Amino acid sequence: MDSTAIFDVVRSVTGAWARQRKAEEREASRVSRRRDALVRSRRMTIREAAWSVMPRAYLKASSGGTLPAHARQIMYAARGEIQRLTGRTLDDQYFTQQLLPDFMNEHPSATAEWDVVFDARGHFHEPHTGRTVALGTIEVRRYLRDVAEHTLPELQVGLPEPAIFPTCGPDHRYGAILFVEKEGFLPLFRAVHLAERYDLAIMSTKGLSVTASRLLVDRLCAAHQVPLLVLHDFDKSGFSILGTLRRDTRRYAFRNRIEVVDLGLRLEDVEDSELEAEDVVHRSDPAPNLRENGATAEEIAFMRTRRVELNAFASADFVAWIERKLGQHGITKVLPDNDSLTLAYRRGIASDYIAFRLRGAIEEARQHAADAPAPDDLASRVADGMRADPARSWDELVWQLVLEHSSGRRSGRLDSDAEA
Amino acid sequence: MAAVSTLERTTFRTSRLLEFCSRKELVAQTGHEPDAWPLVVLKELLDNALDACEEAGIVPEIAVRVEPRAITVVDNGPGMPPETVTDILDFSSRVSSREAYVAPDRGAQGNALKTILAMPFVLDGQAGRVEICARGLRHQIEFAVDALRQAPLIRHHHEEHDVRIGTSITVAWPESAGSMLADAEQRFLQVADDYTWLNPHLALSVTWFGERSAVRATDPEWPKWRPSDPTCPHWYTPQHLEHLIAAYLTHDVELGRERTVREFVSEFRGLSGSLKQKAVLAATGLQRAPLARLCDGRTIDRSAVEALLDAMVACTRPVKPEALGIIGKDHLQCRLEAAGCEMATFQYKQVKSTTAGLPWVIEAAFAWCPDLTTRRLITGVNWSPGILNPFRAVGPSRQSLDTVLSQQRADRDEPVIVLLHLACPRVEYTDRGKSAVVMTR
Repeated sequence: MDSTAIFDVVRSVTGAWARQRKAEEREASRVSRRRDALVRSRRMTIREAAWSVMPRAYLKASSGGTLPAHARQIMYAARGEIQRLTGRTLDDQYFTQQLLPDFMNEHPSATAEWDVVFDARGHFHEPHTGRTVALGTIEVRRYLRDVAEHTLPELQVGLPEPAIFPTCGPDHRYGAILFVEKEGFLPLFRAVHLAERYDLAIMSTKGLSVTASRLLVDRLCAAHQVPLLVLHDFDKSGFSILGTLRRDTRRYAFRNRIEVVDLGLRLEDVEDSELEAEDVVHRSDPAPNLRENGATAEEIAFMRTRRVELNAFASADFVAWIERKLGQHGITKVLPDNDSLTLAYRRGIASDYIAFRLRGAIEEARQHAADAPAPDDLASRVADGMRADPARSWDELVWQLVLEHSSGRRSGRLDSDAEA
Repeated sequence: MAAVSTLERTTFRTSRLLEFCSRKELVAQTGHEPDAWPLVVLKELLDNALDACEEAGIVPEIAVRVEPRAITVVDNGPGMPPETVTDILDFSSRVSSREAYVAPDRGAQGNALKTILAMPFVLDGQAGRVEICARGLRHQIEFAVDALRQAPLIRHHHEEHDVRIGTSITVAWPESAGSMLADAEQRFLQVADDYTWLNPHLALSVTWFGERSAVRATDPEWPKWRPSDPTCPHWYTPQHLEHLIAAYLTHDVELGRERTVREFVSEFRGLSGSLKQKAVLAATGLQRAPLARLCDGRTIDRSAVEALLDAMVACTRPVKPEALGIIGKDHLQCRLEAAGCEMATFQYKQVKSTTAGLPWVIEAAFAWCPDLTTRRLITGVNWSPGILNPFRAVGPSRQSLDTVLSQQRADRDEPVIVLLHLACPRVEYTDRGKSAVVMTR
C-alpha cells in the first residue's frame, strides 16, 4: 500500500474546509459567513444525484423492468433530473461507463434483476467460419449461449454444401484467443490469414477491454481450456489492459482462473526491433499502476516519459514479430481427434451425395417449371390477397398460389390413383 | 604462600514472572507509560470482547463500567473457556490464537491479557486482583509478593457463579493509582466512544463513576471479516508462513500429534477442496507428507516453505478489499450527526485496492462541528481505535497525519471531527504502542 493514498484521502475529505479556512485567513470577515459559505459550497454532486435517481431511471428505461435497457437509455432517463439537482451538465460517457456500473456494483441485491445492455466497443472473430461477434452485452450472451447449446446440425439440403464442418466456439475450431487492444489491425490480419494459419479467434476493442469481452474470455477460456493471448502497446494503458484481463476490477470480477499470456510489447521487443518511441506526459505517477500490472523497474523508468505503440512496426515486421511470439508460446493449428475427423469425412461424403442428386433434381425442376402454365388472372388474385391482408407482400401471395396449385395437383393425382 | 580462598558462585534461579511484573516490563510490553494504562485495559478488553462475539457470530453488546476501584467489561459473547484462563496464567509462554496468523485482526500481540492481569499488582506494588466470570465460573486471580523468594505469587481460585452468557472481566484498580484513573477520564471515554465509530454492529454502554451513556448499533448485521474466517495464502510472506508452520509444529509436539501438510493447507481460504489441496501437494511433491517434513532438524526449510506458498497462491484467488469490512458512509453520517455536526459539511471518502495480493481499504470522514472547542480525531486500524494516532509517521518520509491536517487547516484547535481508518490483513507497527504503522512506499 502506498502511504500517499492515506493522506490523499484525508486531503480529499478536508478540501472544502481547507479552502474556507484559507479564505478566512486572507479576509477575516469571512469567518462570520463561514456557515453560509460551507453550506453553499456543498452542492449535490453528480454522483449523489445519480444515486438518487438511478432506480427510477432504470425502471423508466426498461418499461418497469420488463425489457432490457441500454445504458444510454438509462442515461437519457436520468439526465434531466441529475442536471436539475446539481446545476451541472452530465457527461454521457461518465454516466454509462462509470456511474451506472459503480451503482450496480455497490447495490448488488437491488440491481440483481436489472438487465442493462452496454455498447459493443469491439469485435470477436472466429477463424474459418466467418462468424463475428460484436463485444456488446447482448451479443456476447447470445454467442455464449450458442456455444453452450451447440450440437451438430442435421445435414442441410441445399447447394453447395460448405466445406466448413459446423462448429460453434473453440471446440474443433480455434485453440487460442488473440486479444488486440486496437480495432484497426484486422484488415492486416485478414490479408495475411493470421487467424486461419494459427486457428486463432481474434478479439479487438477500442482501448481497455470492455466488460463483455472479459465475460467472453472468462467463460470460453475456462470451459474450453484455451489461452488468452494479449497484444498491447508498450505504455501505461497497454499494461492496464493486460491487468484488467488478469484480475478483478470494479467493472468485472472473474469467475474462473484463465490462462492469460502476455504477447504484448515489452522493453526487450522495443530495443530488439528498434521501435520508435513517442513522448508522453502523465497526469499522475504511472509507476504504481505499471508495477501492479507487471512492468519491471526498467520498463517503468522508460514509460514514465515515453511510449511505443504496436503501430510503430511496419506491417510485415509486425506480422513476423507476432508469429515469432506465437511460436514461442506453442500456438499451433487445431487438429481434432480421429473420431471427429472420421465423422467430418463421412459427413462430407453424405453432403457430396446430396449435392450430386440435387443437381439432377434442379435440372428436372427447371423443365417442370417452364412447362407449367401461369394463371391468367395472376395479377388480380395477388391484388385481392393484398387487399384482404395488407401486411402480406406480393411474393408471399405468389408463393401461396404456387402451393395451392401444387396441392390441387397432388390431391387430384391421389384421387385418380384411388379411382384407378 | 597462604592459600587464597575462592568463591564458588551459586547459580540463582529467579522468577520470569518477576520480570513480567515490573513497571519497566509492562511499559515495554504495552508500549505505554502507566498514565495510559486505564486506556490499555479498556482497549485490550474491548478488542477481545468484540473478537469473541464476531468469532461466534453474535452481535456484540458490551458494557464498560468504571468505578473508583475497578474497571469492568462485560460482553455477550460465548464466554471465556476455563482452560484459556489457566493458559493465560502461564507467564512463561505467549497464549494467542492470532499471533501467528496473518489476518485483519484487531490485535495479535499474544500477551495482552497477561499484561492486564499483572497491571493492578504493578500499580500497587504489593497485591493485585482480577476477576473473570464466564461459563458458570468466577475466577479470582490474585497477585501477591512471596516474601521469601521476593517474587510475585499468583493465586487462582474459582467457584460456581450464575453467569451463563458472555464474559465479565473486572480489573481491580489500586487506590494508590486512583488519580491516574480520574486523569484518564476524557481519553478513556473518547477511546470507548471511538469503538462505536469504527464498529457499526456494536452496542456499547459506558458507566463512568455512576454516569451512564449508551450507543446503539447502526447496523447489527454489518458484514466484516471474522476472526474465525480462514486466512488467505496471498496475505503471507515466506517468513510469515514459516512462523505459522513453526507455531503449528510446536503446538503439535506439545499435544503429541502429527499434522500432515494437507491438513495444514486445508485451513486456508480457497483450499478446503480436495482438488485444490491435491494440486498444491502435487506441485510441491508433499503428497501424504507430515508438516514436520518442512522442518530440517531445528530449522524450517525456507525453500520448501517458499515453494509451498507459491503453490498455495497459484491455486487461490486474492480476497477482495470489500470482504474485509467497510465501515461505510451511512454509519459515519449517523455518528457525525449524533455528535452535532453541521451535516452539510459532511465528507466521506473510501479507497480500496489490492497490493501484491494484500487487500486494503482506507476510509475517511470529516464534518464541521461548531459546538466543539477542539478537534476530535478518530483513528484506527482494523476497527480498533488507537490509543495513540497510528498515522504519526507514515511511509519512508515519515509524514504525519497531524502535519497533513495542519496543512488542511484542521489543527487541534479547530472545531471539526476527522476520522481515518485503515483495514488490511498485514499491518506492521514500529513499536508495541502501535504509534506508527509501517509502510514501505
